[in-house]
Amino acid sequence: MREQLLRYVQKPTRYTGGEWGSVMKNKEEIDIRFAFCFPDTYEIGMSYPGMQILYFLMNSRPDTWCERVFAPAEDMEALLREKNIPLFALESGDSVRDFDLLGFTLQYEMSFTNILNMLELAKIPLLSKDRGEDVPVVCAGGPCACNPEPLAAFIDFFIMGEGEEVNLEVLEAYGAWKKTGGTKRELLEQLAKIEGIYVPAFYDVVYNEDGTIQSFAPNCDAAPKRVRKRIIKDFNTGFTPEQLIVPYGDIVHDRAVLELFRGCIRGCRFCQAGMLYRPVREKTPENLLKTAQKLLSATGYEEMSMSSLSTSDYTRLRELTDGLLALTEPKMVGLSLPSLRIDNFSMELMQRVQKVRKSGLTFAPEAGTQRMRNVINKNVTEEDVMRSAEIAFRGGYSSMKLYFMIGLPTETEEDCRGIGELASRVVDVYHSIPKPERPKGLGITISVSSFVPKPFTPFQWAAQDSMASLREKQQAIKGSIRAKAVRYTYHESTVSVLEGAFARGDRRLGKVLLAAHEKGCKFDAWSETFHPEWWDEAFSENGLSIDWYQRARGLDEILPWDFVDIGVTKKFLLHEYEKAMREETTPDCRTACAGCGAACFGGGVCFEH
Amino acid sequence: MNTKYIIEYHREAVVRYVSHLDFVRVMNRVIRRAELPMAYSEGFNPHPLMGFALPLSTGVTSSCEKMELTLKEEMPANEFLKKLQDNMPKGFTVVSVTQVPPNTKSPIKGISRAVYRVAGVQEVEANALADFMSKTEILVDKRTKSGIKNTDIRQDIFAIKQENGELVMELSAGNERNLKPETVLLAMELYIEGFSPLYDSIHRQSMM
Repeated sequence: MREQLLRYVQKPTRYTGGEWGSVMKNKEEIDIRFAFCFPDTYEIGMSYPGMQILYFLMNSRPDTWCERVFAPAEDMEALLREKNIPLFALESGDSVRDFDLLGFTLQYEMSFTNILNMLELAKIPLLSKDRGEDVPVVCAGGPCACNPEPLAAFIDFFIMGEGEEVNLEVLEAYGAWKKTGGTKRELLEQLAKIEGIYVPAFYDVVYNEDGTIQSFAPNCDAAPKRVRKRIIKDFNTGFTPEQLIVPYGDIVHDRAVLELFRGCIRGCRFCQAGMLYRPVREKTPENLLKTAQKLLSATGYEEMSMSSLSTSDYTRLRELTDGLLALTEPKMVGLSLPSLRIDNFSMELMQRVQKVRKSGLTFAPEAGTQRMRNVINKNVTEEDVMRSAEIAFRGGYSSMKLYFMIGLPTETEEDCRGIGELASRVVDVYHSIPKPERPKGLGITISVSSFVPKPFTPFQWAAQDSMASLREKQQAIKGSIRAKAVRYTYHESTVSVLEGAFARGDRRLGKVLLAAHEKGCKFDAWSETFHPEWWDEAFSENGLSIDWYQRARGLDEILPWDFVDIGVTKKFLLHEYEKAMREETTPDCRTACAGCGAACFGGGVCFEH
Repeated sequence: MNTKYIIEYHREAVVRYVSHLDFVRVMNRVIRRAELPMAYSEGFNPHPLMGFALPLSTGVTSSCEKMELTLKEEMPANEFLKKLQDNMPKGFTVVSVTQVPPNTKSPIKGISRAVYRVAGVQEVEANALADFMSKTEILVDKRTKSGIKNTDIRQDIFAIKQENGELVMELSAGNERNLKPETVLLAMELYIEGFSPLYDSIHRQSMM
């Protein structure tokens, strides 16, 4: 079927499959056909390492064939609709409709409309309740599944937390169920007994008149009161693919990726990933080097990158980078460094790695004043910033990008002006260095984005700043910039309000999502395809207001995601929120355990000593 | 000592949408996977010494592709072939590896013609085809570097015949003059009444 379309679309290799490393199987020998669906384009989806991990994990089962499905670009979508061809999977080219299971990965809220669009293109009814026994079962996982409620009506079951173990348990249960020929309901009851599985249909939500939740409770015996996320307790020896699919076309990140550790010790109060992936678990340099070697010879990649939430915190970074360079240099493989904390070690490292151009240094103080940085628990002092700047300038870097957020809880105009003032002091550092010892052509870029409160962070109760307030703050920043060498960029984002609404949304947003989809919303993360006016209509037609979702939450409110247990307790988050209001900081996990609750998993940093 | 090899390979239907640029990237990775003792170019950004006879259009299959790879040391041709084939994505098939004797002209240079087979086209009456070929001038809109231009393509068509329901065309190919079979189909639509330029597939059969 797809053959007749490929000639008419841009970048046809987005749809052909057959890349090096992709897995082909004989359909006759397969019991379970799994469609791994990424609700964005091929170029984005293939750059996401998590997909490759789960792809090779599921394909390691002889009874399962996991194939990939991406959101088709506009030209392909038009052809599929015109010729009435249902959405197909890349490997076999078969219609997704004929698969057993569809699994969507939820990486960002603004991809939710693409999920609905893909289901529609696959000719699968959008609503879970409308899907009969002959239609595939639809599941979802990934970071945004931590508050699954806005998607509750569309997804049959959610997988909470890390997928490396639970996905196999799901396949096992599915395989057993398929042999018995039971009903979908029976399958979901079986799945609900697996830790980490949430079946939204098994829970009832009752709302108060003001729209807040009155009660949230299971309506069947199979469903647990709370659903605990899954983690890979022994991350060091957990499943790690030793090969990757190597795309034909240019994708966003086209390289081998090495995941050093999962989680983050820092505890920044705005950061969802920092809480979701607790506790921190590292791989040993020995294991990582083995993986690196295997990945390079299996893929032939000419570039390798390290990935983690805060790579500088890897305990044996020097040992690892020495080992990696010994491996990559003779092979002429470039080692691309993530943004490291700027110190003497990282400067030395950057000098050794040719791939890094002497222009691109980034630094994320996140806030302009010490007061504000204490509130968000970004444990970086003004002195740290200045010292890093000096090291960077003396190391030959003439330009620096500084990342900030505005719209943070308790933020004042002074905090915003602090952003420009901080940049000015960085400029002063540059000028304080004698001319022969610094590079020419100073350029400082201030990049500002707006804060979006997320579930499972200490700021989950905080109000999201209004667009009007954000605009005033942008003006304050602009006014605070004095130095000529400082450039200011701001990402105007009406989309962040919507992102916030869905991040902290409830089940009622399902109707809004459906209405937005019917109006044609898709690829909302892209400014050229984002239609705020359609979203406004979608909210008002369903009697909901986006402002309501921006509001501060009551500390005693039942939050839509309260039933999810990520290990980190609500009590801890609340304690952190209160400390934030008092401008008190919390040390990182290795300096002192803050008692967040993640120790309940029995592994990682909590047990390092 | 640097030694040149000519690799003959096919591009089958499953990979026909891999563009030439993407194929260069494929080869860079094949070379690394196969751990070939490649010779690299000099300079600040060294790259493996690799040359292609004639880039193949996206969407076209071929059974006559040629590239030249330079190794730092000699390697038996059959070993080289196996290493390449084991590391090529399915659909690219290496059919031969030949060492180029020193000081001989490279077989990938100086290509001027290619033969294409166009399948799934409408049958043309023999007279109409002969009539088309007897024209002294065939004007058609052709995409050039400076945009679409009305161009005379007659001298770039050496032969067209019908064989087993396919159109076999021998056309200019190379750096100097190049003509795509699709352009010929568009010209035939203009000059042969009732001819439709629709086709199923194009295959490059030989280059000379």
